[in-house]
Amino acid sequence: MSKTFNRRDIIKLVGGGLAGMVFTPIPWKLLDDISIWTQNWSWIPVPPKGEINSKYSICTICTAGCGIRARCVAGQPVSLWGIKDHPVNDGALCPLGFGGHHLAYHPARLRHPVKLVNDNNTITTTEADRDDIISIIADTIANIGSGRSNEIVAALDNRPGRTVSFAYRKLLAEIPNGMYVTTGSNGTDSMEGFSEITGENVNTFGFNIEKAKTIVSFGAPLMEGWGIPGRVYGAMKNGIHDKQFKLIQVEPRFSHSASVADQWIPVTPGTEAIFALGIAHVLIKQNFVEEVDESYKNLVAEYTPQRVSDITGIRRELIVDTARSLATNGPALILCGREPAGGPFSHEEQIPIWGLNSLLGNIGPDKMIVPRNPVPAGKSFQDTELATVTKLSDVPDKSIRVLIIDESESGNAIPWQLIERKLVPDKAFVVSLSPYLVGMTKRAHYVVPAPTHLESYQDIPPSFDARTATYAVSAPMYTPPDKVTEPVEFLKLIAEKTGSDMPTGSYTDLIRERAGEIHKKNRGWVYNPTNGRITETADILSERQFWGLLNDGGYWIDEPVNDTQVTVKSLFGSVGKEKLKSKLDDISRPNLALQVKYPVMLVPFGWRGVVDSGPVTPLISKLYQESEFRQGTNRALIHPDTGSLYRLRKDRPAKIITEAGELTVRVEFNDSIRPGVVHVALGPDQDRITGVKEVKIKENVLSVSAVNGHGTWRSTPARIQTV
Amino acid sequence: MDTRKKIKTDNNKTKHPQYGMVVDLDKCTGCGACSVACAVENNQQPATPDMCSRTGNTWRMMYKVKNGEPFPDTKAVFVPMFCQQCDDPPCKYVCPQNAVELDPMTGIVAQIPERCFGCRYCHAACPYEARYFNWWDPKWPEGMEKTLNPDVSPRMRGVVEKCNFCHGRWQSARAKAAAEGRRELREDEYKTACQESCPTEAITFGDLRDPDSKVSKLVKDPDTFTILGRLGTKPKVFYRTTRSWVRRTVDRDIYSENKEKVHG
Repeated sequence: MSKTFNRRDIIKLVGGGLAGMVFTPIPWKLLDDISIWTQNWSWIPVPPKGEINSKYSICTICTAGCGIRARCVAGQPVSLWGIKDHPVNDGALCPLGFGGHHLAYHPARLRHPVKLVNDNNTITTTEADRDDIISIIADTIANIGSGRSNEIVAALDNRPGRTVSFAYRKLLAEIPNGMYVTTGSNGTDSMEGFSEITGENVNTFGFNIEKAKTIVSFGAPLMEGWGIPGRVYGAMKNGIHDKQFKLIQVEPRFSHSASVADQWIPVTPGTEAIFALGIAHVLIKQNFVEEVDESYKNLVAEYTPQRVSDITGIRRELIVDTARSLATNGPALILCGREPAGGPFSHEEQIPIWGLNSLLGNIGPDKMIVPRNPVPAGKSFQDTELATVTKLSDVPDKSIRVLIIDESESGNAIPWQLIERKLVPDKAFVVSLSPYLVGMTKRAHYVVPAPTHLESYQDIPPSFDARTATYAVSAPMYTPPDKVTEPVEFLKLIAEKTGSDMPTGSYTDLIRERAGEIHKKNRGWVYNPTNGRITETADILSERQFWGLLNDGGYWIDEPVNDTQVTVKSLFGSVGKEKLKSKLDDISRPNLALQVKYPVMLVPFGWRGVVDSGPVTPLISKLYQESEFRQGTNRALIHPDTGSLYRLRKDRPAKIITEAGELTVRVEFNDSIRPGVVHVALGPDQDRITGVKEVKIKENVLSVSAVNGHGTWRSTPARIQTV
Repeated sequence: MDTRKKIKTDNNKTKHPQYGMVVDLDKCTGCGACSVACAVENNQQPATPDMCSRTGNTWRMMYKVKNGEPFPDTKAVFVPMFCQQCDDPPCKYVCPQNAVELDPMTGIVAQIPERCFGCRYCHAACPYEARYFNWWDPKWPEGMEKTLNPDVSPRMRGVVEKCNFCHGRWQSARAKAAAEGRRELREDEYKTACQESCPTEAITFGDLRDPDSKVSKLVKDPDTFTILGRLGTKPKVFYRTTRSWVRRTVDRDIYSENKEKVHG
């Protein structure tokens, strides 16, 4: 019998085959293979190969100077780690430090000098010739010299005390109207009140944090980046479970520090100084203080716990309890902080806060605030004229004709308007020495890129909180691009063109020379990270050996100063009783007319290292963009009640209006925020994280903050409304 | 369900180790160093500009959990959340490709990207939302690929990835021990990147089966607990706090937070 093979059979065969194939591995294998074929491409990076070893150095991203161990593959750092038992950071490193080895490859990196053109806040760049830039500067200097002009040639240094800082000061002393300007954003601006009451230079004092049983922090961002973070973390690490250490955070915002603190005291923004006076009142009245100046006693007598409670919004009992715990759970240290984005307190506000340390007898050798020796300058900068250090707030407005902005960031924010108001309108010439086209550099006319983190020798003076003098050298691990110029070399070229005298050695030579001067002092010890040993400087026989140790990540630590007595000159500072009282009265009395127009208080906030002008590791996106653990730029934290009062909606834009301008923010409701206050984050812009194709100057919370004469912008009266 | 009762801590040294971790929430300052150190160690790519918390790839997420009280009585704790290395992992059971493996040698829940074809069943099954899908090709800014960790391969687009207790470090430590003629690792030989990076030493990691290890002693501490332990997945990541409100709140908050931020 013959069987015909008809169309139906073909369909059955194909259909049956297809159905049967489902029960075979074929379709699944195909699916798998297709996914694999489409997933793997040549551009997916392959990790480097080569010999693995470790190098030791110092992190230069901020002023803390943490010891780092770089794990290198064929000489290329592939990860950075804090060095365990290091005298500065004891193994701790911040998130930015962990990504420090990315910065040399940051997309915003400049590899040659550029000219910037600002067209309606969009920046375009063209390659520039370094010699042309130097000629412009030299010609302007010559014009200022010949024309008897009052215009200033200034260098802005956010990290004073380095060898390059001395080079700036040397050049500026040589040229007419040269001025060396610092912002204090490295942390010293929050110690000006201390300087006021003692008359001492803040660069020769540090804190004995490790010895404190109680720390009362007036807005010091201990967990967000303050001083040497490893020291605070060390106190947390060692004391948290046996309750030896108590942290009291006095701050309006429920910050990280406030979250971690044993006690959060949420004062009304701007009333911290009044709270300090309330504490002083209790300390004096309850005889916890032995001797106090009568006139200070009279001032403090006005700030009874009840009155302070009315002004600060803190319960009377809490004020009394805080004062008692300071007096009974000592040694207690009072810190006056600088919000990374929000800036320092004004002088007048700082004076009563630092004054508490005086009342508690905290200042002096082996106490809570200790004197320390200055780090000697290199031989080339000794016995020669150097420009004096001028604070940015003391520079006359509209006076700077040429501004050279140093490349190193302090980690803390400085609003551009604070600098802009010092520039001669329309005529000022701004040159940035930043390795990156981000942040403040976008405001410059030219950029001469400097080497970046771990690309050249850098020296690290002590952080402002260090209890003794310290010195270290960050040795390079990368080779910088060809057209990158070391700032000292740039200054030497200007000196050559203007006929000024400058030291002849390279920057490395000058750093080495300074290390030699430290070695000659024969004081202190050197920590060697390669073996964990500490050697007395006196036992290091030659300067060459000392330099070799520093090159290998060594850290010099000076002896404590035990023979200097510190006297508190006046608890009113140079401000005087009347002016201080008048300022405190201003704080105590709310301006009702202003409150009608601007009913909410705008308070900026952020983290050290991400609020300044430099780039950050692209992996910081893990904490911002990819997790929203930290609030990104222009994210506004508002209490839900304040939100409903102004009809704001969650995750929607809102407009903040101040005397300085308008800013669009994105609303985030948070019931830990004080009603009536709007905290706006200053985070890293996209160009600082991964770089962008179109470089723009963007508005942020600092653009609309009121920057007062003393260079503070902590809180600004504002209005908020829906967009 | 209390995992402590399930993990046997005996003296039999011939048994393979079962690695676990205790995070001391009282010591965690929320600095985020562990998240970035983890990303560096495990070659997690940085975000592209259009990435968000739903599509990002952060093996070690940080949460701020509050006590539920409004201003001025708010208290908060920082909770790092990552793969809890469950002994009874739901992700393993749902994987059609056998791309999830509970390694009997270590107790680590491993993800094998070469097998994964991106169905994301495991992603949906994980109650901790600790798994991440690679939506895009892994890309680093030009030149930055030189900084990748040579011990860890970047994963391709279209696969799920997650914390594996820095498995590459375990391999290196084992190779080193083998070279010295040892079969067992000393306690300090195998550390995870997050543990190494933590500035307050809030993270303790080690062999839960070794009764002398720091981690197994901490697991027995009455202040130690697991998150979502009631689900019975037997996590090998424990948290510790002396604050009772944290234990009460953290389960609820992490769960609701994860429900809001479904990754993918």
